[in-house]
Amino acid sequence: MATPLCKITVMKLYEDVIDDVIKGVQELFLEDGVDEHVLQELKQTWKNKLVATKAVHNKSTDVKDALVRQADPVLPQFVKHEGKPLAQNNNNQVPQVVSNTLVPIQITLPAQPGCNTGQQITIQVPVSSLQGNQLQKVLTGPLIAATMSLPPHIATSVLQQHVTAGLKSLEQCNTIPNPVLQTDGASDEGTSRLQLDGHDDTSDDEVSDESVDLDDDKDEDEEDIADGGGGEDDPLNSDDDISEEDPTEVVDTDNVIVCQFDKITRARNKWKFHLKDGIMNINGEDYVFQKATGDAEW
Amino acid sequence: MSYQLYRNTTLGHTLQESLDELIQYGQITPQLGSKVLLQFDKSINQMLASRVKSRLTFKAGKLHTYRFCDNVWTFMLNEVEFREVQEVTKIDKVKIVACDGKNVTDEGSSKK
Repeated sequence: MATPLCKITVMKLYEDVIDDVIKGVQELFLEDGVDEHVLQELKQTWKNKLVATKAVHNKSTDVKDALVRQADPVLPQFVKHEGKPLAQNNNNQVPQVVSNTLVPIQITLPAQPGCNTGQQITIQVPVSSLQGNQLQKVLTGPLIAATMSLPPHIATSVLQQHVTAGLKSLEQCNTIPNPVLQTDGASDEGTSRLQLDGHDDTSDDEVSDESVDLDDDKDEDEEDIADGGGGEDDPLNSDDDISEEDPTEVVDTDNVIVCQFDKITRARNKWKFHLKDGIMNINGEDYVFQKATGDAEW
Repeated sequence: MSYQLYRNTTLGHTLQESLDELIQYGQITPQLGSKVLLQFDKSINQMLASRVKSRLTFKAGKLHTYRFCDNVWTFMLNEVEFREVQEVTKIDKVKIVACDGKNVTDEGSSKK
């Protein structure tokens, strides 16, 4: 049911219901001596909550919601004004500012035989690169391996240069922005922590010898990794990222249909259902129907 | 009379949460809150009956449980396949709560 009829009408229907309810209780609010702005607040809160459930998809609200969430780590003050005119005006300008804002990313390099503790390196990346695994594409295994044996301040600048350049080139081939938002991680403390498991000892010597000339030896390094460090090509928790997105869809599998019955019939163990005026929540999304017929065996 | 069962939907839940907040902040009384819910019952029943035109069919692998109490049917269906024209969705299980559709039609035609 990607875009069936019953789905398209849901948002329109809900908006009409909201308007109808608000209009219907206007006099009750007046009688109670409640100010008009409380009624408007009710309407706005109701709409915001509805959008936040993700049960209804609507293009304009989706975009707005995405912007608010994207702004969260950097510009938390905008989020508190949700629904107020101020926030809506600002939303037009927020995306550019946000996506180019640099956030610190902390990278922990595994401990080396030479220097006994693992290094921690902090680099600056644009917020936008935290989405859609862009950073993982740029922070490749060979690059990490090559910087491991460098002194921290050199490693930092090397990594910084490569990530900035890599992201730039990614941005150019990625003209369609990735709609997947990854707000976890970075939003908590303003830093993300990417941890790498230790490198195989055998490959250390080769890598450290060649590590300074990153550009020239990149291919060779890649081969080294492929030979000796099996499974390290996706070291940056790429598995975790996927599994973190799934729960939001899996959690809400409490599928419910609320409706009225026209006729329920049974012959032996065969049942037939004639339902109408239904609201369904299936896999977390809402659908409505005028009529639904179905059958089942008991 | 309008059925209150649609309060147990996304739209109904979000309205109740919004009302609860206003009541907690002392901006409206609980009595006004329940009047808003009654208006919601009226609006959603009316809108569903008049505005929604979509039809669908479903087929369940198994009717797990059924209950008929106070003129309300409750079904638990397993392995359900929904179909609307060409669109098909399959889910493991679904709960159906259905009030008597005739009551409302009678009320509606008599127009109180």
